[in-house]
Amino acid sequence: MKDPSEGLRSSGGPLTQDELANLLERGYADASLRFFARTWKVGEEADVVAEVASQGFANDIDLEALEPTARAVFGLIAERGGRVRGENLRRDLLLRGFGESKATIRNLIVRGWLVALPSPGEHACNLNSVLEQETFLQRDLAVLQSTFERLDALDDDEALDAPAWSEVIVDDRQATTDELELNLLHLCALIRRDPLKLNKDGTPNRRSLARVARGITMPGTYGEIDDDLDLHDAEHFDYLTFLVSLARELQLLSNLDDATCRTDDAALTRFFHAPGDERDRRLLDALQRLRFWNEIDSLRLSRQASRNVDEDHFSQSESTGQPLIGARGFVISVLRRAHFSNWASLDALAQLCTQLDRHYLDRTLSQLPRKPDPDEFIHAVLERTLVWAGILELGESEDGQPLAVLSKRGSRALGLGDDVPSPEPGGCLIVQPNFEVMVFLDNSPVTILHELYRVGRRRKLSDRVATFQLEAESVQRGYALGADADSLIELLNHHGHTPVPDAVAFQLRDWERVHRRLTIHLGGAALRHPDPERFDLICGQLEHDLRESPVELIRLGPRDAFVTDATHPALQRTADAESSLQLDALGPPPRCFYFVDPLVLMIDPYECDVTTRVELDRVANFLEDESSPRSLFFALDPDKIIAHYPDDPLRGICNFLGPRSEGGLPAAQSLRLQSELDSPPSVHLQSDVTVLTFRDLDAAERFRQLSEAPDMIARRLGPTTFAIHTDQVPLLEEIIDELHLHLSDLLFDEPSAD
Amino acid sequence: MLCEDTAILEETLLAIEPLDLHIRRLGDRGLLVPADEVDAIRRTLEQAGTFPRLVGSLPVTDDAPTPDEPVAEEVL
Repeated sequence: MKDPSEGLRSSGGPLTQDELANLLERGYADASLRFFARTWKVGEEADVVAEVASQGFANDIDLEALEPTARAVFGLIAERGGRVRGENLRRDLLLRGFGESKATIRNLIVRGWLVALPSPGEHACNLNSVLEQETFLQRDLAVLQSTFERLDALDDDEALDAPAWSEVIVDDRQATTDELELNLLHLCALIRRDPLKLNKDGTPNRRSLARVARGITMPGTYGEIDDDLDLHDAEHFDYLTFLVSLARELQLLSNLDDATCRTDDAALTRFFHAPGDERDRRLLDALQRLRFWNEIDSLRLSRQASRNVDEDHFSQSESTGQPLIGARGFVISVLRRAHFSNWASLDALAQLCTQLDRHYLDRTLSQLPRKPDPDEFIHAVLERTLVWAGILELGESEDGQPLAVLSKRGSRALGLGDDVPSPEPGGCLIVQPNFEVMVFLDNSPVTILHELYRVGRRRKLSDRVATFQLEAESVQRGYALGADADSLIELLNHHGHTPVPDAVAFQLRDWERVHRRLTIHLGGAALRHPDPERFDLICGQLEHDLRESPVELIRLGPRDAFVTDATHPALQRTADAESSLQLDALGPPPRCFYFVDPLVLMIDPYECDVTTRVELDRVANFLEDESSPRSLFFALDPDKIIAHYPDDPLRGICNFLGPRSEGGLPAAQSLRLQSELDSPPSVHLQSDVTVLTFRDLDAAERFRQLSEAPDMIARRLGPTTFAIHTDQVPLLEEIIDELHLHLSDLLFDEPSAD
Repeated sequence: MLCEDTAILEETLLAIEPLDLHIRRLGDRGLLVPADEVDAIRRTLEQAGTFPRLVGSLPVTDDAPTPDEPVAEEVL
């Protein structure tokens, strides 16, 4: 149901007489009416109180005598047209360097200079309770119409002071997100050629890292590090650790195993071909989730006094950054809520984070082993993580106060703006006859850079120009990753200042011809048939069925062919219809072994998959004389088996033979294998044995407890069955007779386990 | 794996010979390889300067291949 008082409320501006009258009638409690009357020293009638909004009151504000924070409060309210949300007022004051202002705002409400308004839908707002419970920051705060007119009338000299930094000294070079992306592309391109090795403790192997880090640009500097790269310099090593860790969070790098990182080309393409806003959002998300790098140690490193950071900090297996993920998220969410578009004091930003929810940071950081101070952590996130990523830019006020502002891409990453300029249309590169491609970075879309890194090798990076070399190897590598000559030439022509030289275009096509000499078809199926004539017919039918699809059937011999898609329905139909047609695919191995003698087996080659057929040669000898085309015989060779499964030959061969034999590996074969590969099972053969069996277990137990039993019983063979020493049989017969045991002609079954 | 001719196939076999693979030759220019061994072959060929064309995609299986690689030692 619609709130009846809603239409009476103004959406902005100072508090007018009409609005106050309506709020006194429907929004405020009687206690608030008395609060206003007492504060403004007027009668307790609603219309008299409401009149103050337009007429002013006796103890109205002395603007001259206000302390600085209170002046800034009125300055900000005047800037926003007379009304502002309490939290936003406090946040803006913090960002402008006024510190905590809650007490000042409260004092202004108590003195009646600022009015805390009822929330929409509230009917009995009691200002005494609002002040007592300090909920005024969650409300709109307005100045009276009369006050606002006085503020508005102030000339420039008297203007209230809510300073925002207009004079900011900014470094010429700031780290930018574009440069970070270029570094990520460069690193991933080099790791693609030469996977990054990790030491046992997870730190990048310095020699391997030096190979893949050549050409990286340090944040806020010009050009490549190149010869200046020194991995004994903690800052260089630290920045590279940051890059590797970030690339892993973005899934551009993946761990091949514990010892090697390599580039995930599919992920790289997905990321750099994503729209700019999505890329920024993913980048910020990855920065927050950094697990294998942390900004606290990084910032400590850059300070001269504390260069000794544990090797753990550089490890790609020690998740030193993981415990900070939540706290980073908190700082980023505060920045998002701060909604600041101008320069703000860095200290004020840090203070804002601690003031908004100090307990969260205290609690989170106190759980970490080193218990970092919240202030130190916030500064580390702002000055290191977000600055290195180009989200924040740093500057300095004239009086030396450190300031920060969100970059355009930083604003977009936080979802606060989307005014990132697109690269200017027109050419951004020149392809030269010597196969060099010069790219002007300022107006080059990142997709072009991604493509050039795919097919070329970056040779040089000067201030804003990168030079790539197209080489036989790099271009063919690019083709292997999905590029093709026609698209590449079209792309270079489209973005080039000049057309691609003919010689370059010719060579790009020729490299593609060379590249296509070897094709790997992934996920296809091999077809085999014992009868070449029948196979001809099957292939003809399949070619006909596949003519409308991109799937190909490739003939490889009279009995062999390959279909490039194993899942095509036509192939499935043919396989169902032709029982002799063999499809070779992964999955459970076919049961194609038939044992004919101890350690001798027979296979039909058309039933075997490729792994079985190849593996069999490694453990058995082919018996050529006994074989025919459809029946190949093999003798398992213990020496070959031991060489192939050196750790546990018996287990290895049983695991290989078992799943491929109908009904599993026959027991006789496994016993024989045990004899050959392990110690032969020992047996003892005993003859002339008398066996005594009882029908029930109780009787057997009583028999066992007889005093003569130990001398008579040679071995207990089961719960009710005993082997009796042959020379004790007369004694046994005596006992049977004496105890009136009934001798049965039938053999009893053993009692069940139940 | 489909080679342009027998010579390319022989060259390819030579390049991947050091790998312990389950390869079966099909005709004059085809090699049949289990899907989980394609990655190792591709890396070996690339190290030898051959960049084969890849067509299609590998079937998705639950167990990812985990080739054995020695853990590198810090050497400077």
